[in-house]
Amino acid sequence: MNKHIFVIDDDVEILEVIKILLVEKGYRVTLISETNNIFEAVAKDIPDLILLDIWMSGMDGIEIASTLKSKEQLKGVPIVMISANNEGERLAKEAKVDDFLPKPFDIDDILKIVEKHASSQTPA
Amino acid sequence: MTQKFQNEIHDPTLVDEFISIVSHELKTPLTSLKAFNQILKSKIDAKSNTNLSGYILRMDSQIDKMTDIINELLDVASLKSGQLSINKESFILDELITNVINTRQKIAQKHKIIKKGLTNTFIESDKIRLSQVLTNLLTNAAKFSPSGTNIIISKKIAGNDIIVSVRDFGIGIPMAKQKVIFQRFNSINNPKSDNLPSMGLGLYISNEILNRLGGRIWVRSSPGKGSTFFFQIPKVIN
Repeated sequence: MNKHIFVIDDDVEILEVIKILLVEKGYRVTLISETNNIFEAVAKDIPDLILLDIWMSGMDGIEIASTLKSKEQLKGVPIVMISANNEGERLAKEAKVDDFLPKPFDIDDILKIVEKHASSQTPA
Repeated sequence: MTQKFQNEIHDPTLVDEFISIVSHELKTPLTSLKAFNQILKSKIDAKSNTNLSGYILRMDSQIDKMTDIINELLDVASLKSGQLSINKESFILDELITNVINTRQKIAQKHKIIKKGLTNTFIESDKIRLSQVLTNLLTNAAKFSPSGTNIIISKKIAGNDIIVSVRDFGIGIPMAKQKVIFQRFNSINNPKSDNLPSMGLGLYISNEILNRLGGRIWVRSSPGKGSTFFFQIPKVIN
């Protein structure tokens, strides 16, 4: 079965380009651009990996990561933070997420990071 | 504009807003632009469309250049407002050096990078900031030396300190320029480089970071023969 990747970002162009890349590699992709239905959507269809932008309008990416990590049913689902913030790597470390990818990224880098974490995930 | 920016940058609220706007509003479109550009390149048969592939590679290189400029401006804004944070952690410096080399694949493709003196030295310093300094020195070494030449990265222990050097065999730096390259907006332009001129902020940022880590940076260079940049840091920062 295809690995399922959740991509959370408020920029639709970035969501689209990530979707093109991941679908071409055989992943199933769900895109989220608004913060108000993130937790319901993730809980309804638990992914193998979450790609999360640090800055989401309405809610901070670090707050989203912390809430996602605290949910019992999502324990073991890796979160990779993606950010344009120069302090992004440090913020990702503080948020205790599994990895970090700076924007702009090389397409090879995002594919490598997705492959690494999606394939390491073991079903709960 | 630069002077106005420098005057206003003392207001921390404005700096926060500036960093937020620049990071998000400029780097976000660059992200999709870079990714779509690379997808386009992957769809073109490089053998039958040599020109097109070359144009796309040049676009990619210019996107990287613009990203570097934005990152440098953001770092200067953080430095000027005192917001450039330093966070101490324990790590193996040698692994960090190797990781920085591995993440600069484009440099490794054009130059032979030689590592000397790498062992397994644990230090307590700021990993992210040191990575930034090493990346800057490695990028400069590649930028100011011809393809195919060596870049030598060496590490040695000097008592409670570590000295790291990055040596290139490129155009070198005139003596008069060596005194000012660690100041803001003092770049060394390489007439043979196909890149845009540098903003001259990378070495200034590296110098400021190393000062905050209790270290220092200096250069030895001969025009036409190459340059060696050294930095010295304590194994454990206070």
